[in-house]
Amino acid sequence: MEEYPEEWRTPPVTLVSLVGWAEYHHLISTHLLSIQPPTNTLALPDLSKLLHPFSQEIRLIIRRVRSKSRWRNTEAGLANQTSHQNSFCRRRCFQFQSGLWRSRSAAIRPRNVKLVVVVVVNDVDDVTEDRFIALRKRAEVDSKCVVTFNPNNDSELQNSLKRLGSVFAELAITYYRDEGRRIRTRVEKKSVNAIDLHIRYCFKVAVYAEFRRDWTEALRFYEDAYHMSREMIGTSTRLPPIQRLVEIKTIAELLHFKISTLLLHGGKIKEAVTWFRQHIASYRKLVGAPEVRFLHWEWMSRQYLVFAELLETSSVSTQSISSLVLGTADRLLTQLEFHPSYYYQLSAHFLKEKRSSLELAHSMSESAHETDSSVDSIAPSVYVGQFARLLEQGDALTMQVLTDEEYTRYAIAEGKRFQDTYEIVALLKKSCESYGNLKAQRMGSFCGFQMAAEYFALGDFSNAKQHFDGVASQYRQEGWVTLLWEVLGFLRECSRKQGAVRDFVEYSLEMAALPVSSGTETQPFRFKECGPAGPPTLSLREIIHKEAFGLVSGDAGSVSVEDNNSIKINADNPLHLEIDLVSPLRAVLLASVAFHEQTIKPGISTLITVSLLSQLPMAVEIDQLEVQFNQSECNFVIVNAHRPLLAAMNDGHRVERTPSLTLVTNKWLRLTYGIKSEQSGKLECVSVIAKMGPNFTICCRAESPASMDDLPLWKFEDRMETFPTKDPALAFTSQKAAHVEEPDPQVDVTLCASGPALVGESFMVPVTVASRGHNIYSGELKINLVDVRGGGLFSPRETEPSSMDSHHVELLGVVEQEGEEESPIGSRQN
Amino acid sequence: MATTACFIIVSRNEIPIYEAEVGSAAKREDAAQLHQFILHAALDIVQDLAWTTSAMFLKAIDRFNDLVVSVYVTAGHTRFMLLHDSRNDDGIKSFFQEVHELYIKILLNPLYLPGSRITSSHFDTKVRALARKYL
Repeated sequence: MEEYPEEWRTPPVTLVSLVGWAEYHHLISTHLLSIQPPTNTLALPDLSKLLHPFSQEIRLIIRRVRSKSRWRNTEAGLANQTSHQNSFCRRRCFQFQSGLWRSRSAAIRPRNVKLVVVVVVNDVDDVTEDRFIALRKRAEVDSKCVVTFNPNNDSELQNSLKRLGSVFAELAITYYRDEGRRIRTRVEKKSVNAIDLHIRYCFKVAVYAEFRRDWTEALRFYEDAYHMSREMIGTSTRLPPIQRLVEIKTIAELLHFKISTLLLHGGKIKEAVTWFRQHIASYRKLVGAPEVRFLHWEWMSRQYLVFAELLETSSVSTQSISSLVLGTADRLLTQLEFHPSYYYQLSAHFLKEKRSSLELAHSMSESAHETDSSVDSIAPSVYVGQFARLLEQGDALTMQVLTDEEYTRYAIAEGKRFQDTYEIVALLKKSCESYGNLKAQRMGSFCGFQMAAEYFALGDFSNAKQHFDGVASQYRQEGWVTLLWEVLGFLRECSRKQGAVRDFVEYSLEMAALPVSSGTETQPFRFKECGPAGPPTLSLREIIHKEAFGLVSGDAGSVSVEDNNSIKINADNPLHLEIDLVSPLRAVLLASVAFHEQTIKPGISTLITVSLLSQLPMAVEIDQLEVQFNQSECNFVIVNAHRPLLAAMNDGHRVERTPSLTLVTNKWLRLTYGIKSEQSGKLECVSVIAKMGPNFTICCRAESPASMDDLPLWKFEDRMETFPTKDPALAFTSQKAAHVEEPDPQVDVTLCASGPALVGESFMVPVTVASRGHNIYSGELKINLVDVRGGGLFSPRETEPSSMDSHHVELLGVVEQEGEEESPIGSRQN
Repeated sequence: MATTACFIIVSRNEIPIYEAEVGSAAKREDAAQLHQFILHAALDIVQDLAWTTSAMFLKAIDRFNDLVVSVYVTAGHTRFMLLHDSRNDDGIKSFFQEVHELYIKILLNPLYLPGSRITSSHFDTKVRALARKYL
């Protein structure tokens, strides 16, 4: 409420004027403001000011304050709020000429202004009763209106201030009650014929009722005034048509503001929202003359903005809102209508309307009137919603009524001064944040999109891109392709304007691979005015596809952007794209790698199928494919036989040639090759790198067919689904990794006994273990000694464990010979 | 018939599976592109409201300027959303109910994967006829 001008405030604040004794003004003003209800003071230090008619003085001052404020065209007749006049007098005041008193009284009495005479004393006893009586008589006031003010003593001072406060409060109530009653009688008697005067009276009664905190009466009279002002539209002819409508709308706005405030402060949020809807419904069609249509949209925007702010500051909690909505049986109001974010969003919407209408009006007026200096002297008039030309005639200023043409020129010139775009962005930002608090992500996305579009129009591409990116991820996630197309179109333009070649190609490819097909009978949406991408159609997808591939292949040279800048891809600026499992570009290139066997023997060749899928609208020719494994010696390159071999990727790896590497839309390109690994462990295909043209590569993470996710946007599209491998069974089971087994160990064990030995003789038995084939790093050697007890064939199993006790075996040492391992064992037989 | 009416079917996993502009007249250019945005944004309200009532027809759940969003939620949580500027509540209800029947027929088709895009031209023709009749 604080940011609105004084005259819009509810409840209005009583005004008191202090005259004379300037040294006490601050003291009294502070005190009067701090009490409840507060009172404003207008301090006139000089008594001579009173020589002027009092009310005019006040009016002038109020106007000066008001002209600084934004809402200056809502000047209400507040001059009459000047209720009390307070004169500081001491004994000296008796010396005032009685003529002065009289002239002052003459200015005051017809307006029923209350007067309080304050006698500043050092000691109460100073002033005798006689003098008080004489003073009262001269000033023609009641005894309670003559107050003593003792500034010397602290407690006395407090008492004096309290006394002053209560006297003023009491007089204010009386004053406003009297005034209200006086005018209400006029209204009720219907003695006034002029409808505008009737509105004025209703407004006055309502404001006076507000001073008294009589909300019911205030609301009733505001509503009366509002309804009458609506009726005036067809009937009044006092002003030229354009200005008449402007005046009526301004008055309606003020009355509506008052009503909404009273309803919201009373906690009647449902009534306030309903009232707002009625207000909008009754004025939304009153667009007015085409040349000042923008004034209407501006007015509409302001209605939503002000209501949003009022709603935000009102104390109604969110919990009660949901119960309110559910409580409504027929649910005429939607849930969002109770939240300020809804109104901020629409306010921004109407401000956009205003901007476009203003641009139109401006272009029309420019051709008609090249220069016009007459608008400078036009100012808001003393009457709410009216404008007039200020004419200087000597020292005096006079107001002259405008013609509609003059007013239109003035309004257009005024309208040009404001930067609507920033205002729109600010409103949308507020709305977006507010929706975020409500956890309404989609609503927030919509606001975010509009905000980003505004940034885009402003040329602030980095901000635009940031917001568009956030919105795009939401639409991507939920699969709203048409909306995603729109957002990506903007993003593509942003990156083009910024000269970001990688982003440009990425967005282009993503757009080209979106499931948009206009070939179906259901004509989707008629986009008459769509984003920079144009309507989502197959033909546009193809154009974007061609543009992107023209750029990367270097055929098209470069895509021109503004400021003589261009984005291009050449040997100095190669482009390398990465597509991982969560990338939106999966639809552009999806690589599935399937080992035909899950376990393979080292050195033995097995089959591997590399399958590629693309949803791009046109066939893509790949120059070469590099398949990369975690064991880099297994990497191999598949080369398109029709294209020259590109040396850069051919660094000693196996090269396979294939007659064609063409990716057709939605058709798996399956390539099966043999592969063998020499190293045991896991053999996993990491990525498939497709090279298209000399300077463009796409690195695609390899995916297992068995655990491959569907393409998110294409999942529910009506398309032919095929398997990445020829054998469907493989598609369900095969993986991108296989286990390479350990090779079978091949070992020679040689026992070299020197010959027979005697009982009890100690002798050496060298055992030689030699590998045949690959290296062996560990193993277990077990030697069984058997007592054969005199020869003959026998099985080691027949030996008794006890018989081993008579042997003593000792390892003498391990010797490695020429890289081979040898372990001679010494054995002593007892 | 309503001048603006944009009908969309949103599957239970938030994806639009059928969309059609069924208004009688071409709408103002700048508003045309808003339709899908408004409908998408209205899903926020539907997801809250759908669980508070047992009725399938949720009536007007959102307003954008003079456009109203009416929603009908099937038992399988497929949402029929209509953006319109007419105030004919009964007509809209009948429209939704008849489209629901058509949708069930689509679901009964063994070749139709629930949740996938409805491409049947028969369905499209019927929906447009219903729009002409009721909206």
